[in-house]
Amino acid sequence: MNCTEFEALLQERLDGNQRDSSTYEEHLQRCPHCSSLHQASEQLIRGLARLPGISPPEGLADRIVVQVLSERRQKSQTHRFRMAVASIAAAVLVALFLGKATPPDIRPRTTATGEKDNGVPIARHEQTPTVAESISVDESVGEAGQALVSLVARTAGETVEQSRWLLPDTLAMANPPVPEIGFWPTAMQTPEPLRQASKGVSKGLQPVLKSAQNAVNLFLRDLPVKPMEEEE
Amino acid sequence: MSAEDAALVKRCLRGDRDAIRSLVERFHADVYSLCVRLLTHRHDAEDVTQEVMLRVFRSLNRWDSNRPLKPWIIGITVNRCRTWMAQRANRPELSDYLQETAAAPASDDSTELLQEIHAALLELRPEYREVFVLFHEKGQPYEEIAEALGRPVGTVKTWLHRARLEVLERLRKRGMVPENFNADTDEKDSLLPMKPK
Repeated sequence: MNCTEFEALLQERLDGNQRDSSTYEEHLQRCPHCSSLHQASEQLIRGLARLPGISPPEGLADRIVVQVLSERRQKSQTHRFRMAVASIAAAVLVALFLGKATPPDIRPRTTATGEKDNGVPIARHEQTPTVAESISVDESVGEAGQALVSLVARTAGETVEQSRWLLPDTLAMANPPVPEIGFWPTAMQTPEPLRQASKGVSKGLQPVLKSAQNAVNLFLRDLPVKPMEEEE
Repeated sequence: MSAEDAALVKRCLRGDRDAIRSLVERFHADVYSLCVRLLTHRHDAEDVTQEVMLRVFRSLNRWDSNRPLKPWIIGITVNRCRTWMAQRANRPELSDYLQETAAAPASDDSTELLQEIHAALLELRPEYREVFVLFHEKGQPYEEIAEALGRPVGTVKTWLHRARLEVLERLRKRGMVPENFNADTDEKDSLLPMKPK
């Protein structure tokens, strides 16, 4: 056995594989360098066996769990906010598209007095859309409204569901019933994400804000065809 | 174990609080002790352990359920320790280990021996130190170390062998080998190598 072979056997021993080592012992007796290496390996093994154990500090697991849950909660809130903004933006865009797609001569519907209806000024000229045109616009706006309702309800449902597991203790104490999201809740019932989303839409869609408000008013009244402000 | 891991991870991804706690309690001690060994500083190790566990949960949906979970978490731990040490910009400090070993009974040379071993480890290249710690101190087999580090088993073996030779060389140079050593003594036979768990 030469020194290279000896070293290979030494590595095997350090791996924990103890083999018949008659040749190993022979080499050990006649090679001072390898003998010294072997002794150092014995010291290393002795030292490693005496390494003190390492225990994590008390409460570390609890702190980690709190951090993980907190991060998941923040992620969930961000997701809900984005969903709400996307829902409202989509609905507004649909409404805008429908508004632009409608021929100008059939959109305004006037009254004889020319008074405002619920704050929306009425055009003064007399013109009534045909039945076919009216149904088409009614259906389109109705579908857009339904889409908005569906998206808002879904977002609100996810919000409630994702928040439920974060606060089990609170839910166990109170467990209030989850409110049904209607077509459009009152100001007091409007969920926070929707209010935040509304602010975001106001900022982001400033150039089309006026038209967007008109479109949302359509949904709020649940009236497929309502008098609209005459375009300037 | 892999099916059990997969079920646990699935529950964690659904947001099951008990599953999250279970996963943290199952792995945080291993992560922490590895961080202590690699960073040699308990306070840093605690910070990095928290970072590692957060990263584990952030990346849980990317874990391959056909592979064992532990090496994957160890891999994240080693990477975070490397990054931490690079940011620290200094060589690891010995202070924690010195305090730790100084508290041991000083009836023999074990305190000095432990200090020498750790000083030798700190002089190793980072990848050598990682495989040495994972094999000899954490008891991980070659295959799991290779999985954790994303390297072939042969590379891991080479690194570990070189690491050992460098540590042994330092122990010799520092006089930790008795001069009157006799290869035929009974003591030699009693010092059997550590076997990985």
